[in-house]
Amino acid sequence: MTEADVWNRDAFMQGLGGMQPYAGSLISAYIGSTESHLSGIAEAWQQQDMQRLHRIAHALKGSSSQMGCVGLAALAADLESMTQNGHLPSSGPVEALQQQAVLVLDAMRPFSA
Amino acid sequence: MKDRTNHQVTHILVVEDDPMFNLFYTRFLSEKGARVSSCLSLAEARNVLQTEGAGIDAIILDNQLTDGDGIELLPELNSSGIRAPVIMVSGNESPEFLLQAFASGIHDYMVKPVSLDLLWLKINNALHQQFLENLSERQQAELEHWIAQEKQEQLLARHLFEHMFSDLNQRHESVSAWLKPHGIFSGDAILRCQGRDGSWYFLLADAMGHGLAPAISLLPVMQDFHAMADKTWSLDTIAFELNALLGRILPDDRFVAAVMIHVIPWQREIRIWNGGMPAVILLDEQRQAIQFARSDNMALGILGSHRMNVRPQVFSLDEVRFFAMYSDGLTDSQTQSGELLNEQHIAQMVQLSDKPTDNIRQLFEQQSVQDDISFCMVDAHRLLQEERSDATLPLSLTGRVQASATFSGKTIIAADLPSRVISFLENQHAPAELRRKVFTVVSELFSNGYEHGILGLDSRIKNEDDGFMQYAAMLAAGAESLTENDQVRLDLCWCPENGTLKLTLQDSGPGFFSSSADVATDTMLAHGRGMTLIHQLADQVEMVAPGNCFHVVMSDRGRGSDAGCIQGSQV
Repeated sequence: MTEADVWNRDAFMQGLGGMQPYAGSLISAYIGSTESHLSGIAEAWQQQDMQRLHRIAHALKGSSSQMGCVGLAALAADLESMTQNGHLPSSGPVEALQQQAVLVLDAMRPFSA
Repeated sequence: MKDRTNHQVTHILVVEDDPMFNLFYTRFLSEKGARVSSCLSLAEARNVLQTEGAGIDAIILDNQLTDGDGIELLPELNSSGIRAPVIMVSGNESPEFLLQAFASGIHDYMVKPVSLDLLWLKINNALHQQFLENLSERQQAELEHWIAQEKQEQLLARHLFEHMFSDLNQRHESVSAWLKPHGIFSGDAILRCQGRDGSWYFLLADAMGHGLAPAISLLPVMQDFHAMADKTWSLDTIAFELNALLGRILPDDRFVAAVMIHVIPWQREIRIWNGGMPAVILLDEQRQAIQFARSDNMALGILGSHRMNVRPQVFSLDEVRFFAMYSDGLTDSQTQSGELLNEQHIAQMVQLSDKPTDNIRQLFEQQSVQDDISFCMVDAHRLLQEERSDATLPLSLTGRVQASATFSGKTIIAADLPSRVISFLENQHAPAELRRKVFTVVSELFSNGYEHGILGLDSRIKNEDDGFMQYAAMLAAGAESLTENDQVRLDLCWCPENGTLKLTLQDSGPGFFSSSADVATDTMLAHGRGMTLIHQLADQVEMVAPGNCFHVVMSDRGRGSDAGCIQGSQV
């Protein structure tokens, strides 16, 4: 996986249009909400709450795609899709998403406001 | 919703629970100059809508929120009357969800990740469309209000048209009339009025075209016909005057076809002038069509006065009991069963049915018609029986009331002598029947005295080609030449005890005859039919030599059988 797959910062900055001065604030907001999502995912998996898992995956898919985190957005989309019917056979997809999220957050933290 | 042309700040509600997206939209929209109300949940959004709903111009709405789905908000907006366009921004791309969202009333939809430039474009499009919808609704409401007001005014105007001159909107035993306009206004009119002499006048007029323009053309016709009938003018004079009036006031391409009918009880005559209308059907006692009074004249307002034929057709009331008249809309419009009526159909209908007006109404009532339709059926015999109810003296008085007046120069014309005599009798509570007879007699005496006595005109001129025009011109010239030496004197003596009026009318003219042998022939020929009429209506008539003074006795009991013209001495 390339660096751009983790977080394509150039694409994110270009997508901001005239909003570049607020990039730091947006990154902070994303980090905060993603950390919250990760806690939620861990809890939901532990409780086998597939509906909650599905909802969080959906939210994480949207925000990650907006931030240029293509890999994390794809994993979140997979998890959202897999939990659609309230059933997840293994912890693999959850763990993959958690690992990717750690990489994303690490890449972003230096740029947060 | 603000007027998009007056540069007010746009108020946008952002409903998004993801802090990054919320901040993303809020910062962006604020940079664009909008006022932003930011909410992280449905509950917050409901609070803002409750307090500021009417002032919100657009809503950015996420669907998956922490306390419910954004789509739940849509019916609430609708029921609260909040019309701000909603742009839903979500990660859900399923076609089913999109259909549901649009069916619930969103204006537009965007899938995350969001292009801010595209979002701004969509917001502005939505605001502009909302502005146009509001403008259109406002204009529609104004238009509907205007149309309703216009209709109200038209109905009022139509009511006035229908009631201004005619009493035919009430039920009568002797007359049944029906009029169906092509639109709101009718270019047809039916008018019935009674002259002061008790005779009856009818007018059925059809102005060219449909709608308001022909209805307006009819107003002066109806007004003047009514005024002239009230003064008991002859049909030829009325036709002449109306033609001249319309020739003056109507544009060249407009005219009014008309049937005018004068029912004169004491002469047992029905006079009909038909200018451009379908034939009047005349029926006998057994409802058999015995005559058709066809148009032998152009419609009013077409020909100049010198080419106008004003002579009416004359029928006897002893032969004719009913007459029916109608406009050509009746023969030009299809019936409910798709048929076209012709003259034979209508003649058959008025012969076979007791209520032809009702039959004709039923044929056309439930449909729109191609032209204004009017129909009128009159039972002339019953008509003449209707107005006999007030021939009783209200007071039993003794004594007598006398009045005298002399008019000279141009006051002779201005005095309107017949009307003055009627006013005198009205003040004395003389019966209406007597007043009508007196009006006719005084009108004829005055006409004789003024036109033939003072001005020296000869009625026989009217029988020549263009004679009516010549006669009118001579009358006008004579009126201009009147001096103080030209005089008319009137003496009245009313005896309420026996309901008798004695009147003397003397003019300053030279008189008409030198010997009694001339009376029966020359005066009648020279003065038209007037003298015959006076003899029919008065109890006694005395013409004083040389023929410029008349003594007349009249009563409400009717004409004495032995009354006649008595040649006597000068008063």
